[in-house]
Amino acid sequence: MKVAPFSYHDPENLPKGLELLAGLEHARLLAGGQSLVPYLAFRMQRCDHLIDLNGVSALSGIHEQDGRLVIGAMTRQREIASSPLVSQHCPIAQDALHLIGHIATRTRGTLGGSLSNMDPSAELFGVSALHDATFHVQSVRGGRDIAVADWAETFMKPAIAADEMLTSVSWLPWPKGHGHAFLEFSKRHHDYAIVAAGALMTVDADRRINRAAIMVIGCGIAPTRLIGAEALVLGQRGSSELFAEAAHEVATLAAFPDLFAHQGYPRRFVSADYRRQLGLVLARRAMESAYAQSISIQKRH
Amino acid sequence: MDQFVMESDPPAKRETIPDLRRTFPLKVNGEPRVVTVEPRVTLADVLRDHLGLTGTHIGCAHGVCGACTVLMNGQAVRSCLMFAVQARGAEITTVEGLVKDEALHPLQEAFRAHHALQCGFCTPGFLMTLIDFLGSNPDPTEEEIRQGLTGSLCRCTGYQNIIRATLAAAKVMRSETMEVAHD
Repeated sequence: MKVAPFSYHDPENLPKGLELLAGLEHARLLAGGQSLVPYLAFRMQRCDHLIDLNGVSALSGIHEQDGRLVIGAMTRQREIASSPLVSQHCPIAQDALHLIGHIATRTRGTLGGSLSNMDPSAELFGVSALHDATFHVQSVRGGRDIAVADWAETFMKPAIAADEMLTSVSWLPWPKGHGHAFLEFSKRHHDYAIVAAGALMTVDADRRINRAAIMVIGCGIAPTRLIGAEALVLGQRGSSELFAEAAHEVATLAAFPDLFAHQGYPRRFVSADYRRQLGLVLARRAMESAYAQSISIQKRH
Repeated sequence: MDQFVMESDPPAKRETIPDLRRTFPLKVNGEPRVVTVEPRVTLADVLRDHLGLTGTHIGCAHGVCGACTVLMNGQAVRSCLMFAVQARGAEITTVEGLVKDEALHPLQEAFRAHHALQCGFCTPGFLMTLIDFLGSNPDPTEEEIRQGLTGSLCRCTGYQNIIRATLAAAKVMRSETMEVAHD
């Protein structure tokens, strides 16, 4: 089907974009468009005004600031996938990006678009959870920061007002040589993940884990950090038994939200038990892989 | 594609339909063109219906099949997932732009030699994806080619020959690059 008519706006700077967003009724922001354009084409979503952010160059770019890696909301997935700064500080983002869409969709797809669309399977939301992200939003009323844990309001909706726009995301870098692994399961290669898991880890000279971040996506409307698992592995030497025990936290998560039962949502047919089982296995494997990597890196130093 | 339904306000009813059309320039296969279309018209539709470049095919029209892939400023994009107005001022290359002086591109030659097309519907998308892919990875392994082509579907399932053709074309394209470098 073809997209229903809309008025097109192409602000050349952020203040103009924010003004349009505040002033227009039934307006949508267009970032990379790799999800929004199909929604509009299927007429699952409609808008009277489309505000295209692709001309706002200030929203793109990757830089370091105050010990954090700051990425503009309109930065393309393709740019993040090849960025030396990301490779240095948040390499798991690049592990994940290779699983997101395809060459042609990564050319257009953006970080901010993915995070604002907030699909429960969005890998970059999971990466943001691992790197203790802060989301910066702006409106004509001013700007504010939102912690990654507070980003989700409900199924596919961030906790921001209608006149607010995600403008940048900052990730907390991990030290050079940390172990990282991102694993997912999907029906077809590079398709939406049903469940994915990611782990970051560092070890001391005695091979004991001294820092860990572990999360799963696809088990809720937002990524779930496995706080219990992180605490359990601290101070321990890694082993299959330890990681299996830690991953068990996925099985204890509250019943997965019925939000997946939204009308027409294809992955709604995947049962909660199946998600738990997948999450458990993938979390264990991600921990094993991240641990093995941090050990081998340490050997070389 | 996710077929879920979002809860949102219905759009306001319009009394009259305003003229939303825009006129803008774009460069297609090196030629400057000017089009006047509504902003809701996709780049794929403009290429086919307004500029007569029917080499770009539309399979699924929602970004899954890859048949409509073209290059925008040298990078592969889905032309069905972009509004044409977003390509204003950009340089677009379609499959028609691969032919130079009536000679097929080495990638096209390799597709022909290795029987990498059957019905041919998906071929333009495969070719344009591979031009971008081989540009950044001129000497790929078979596995890398498979990864690079996950976004293109061939309903005739002729993937084996597409991969063979790609390996062969990469070799030819590398030697051509070397010749240019030696000149």
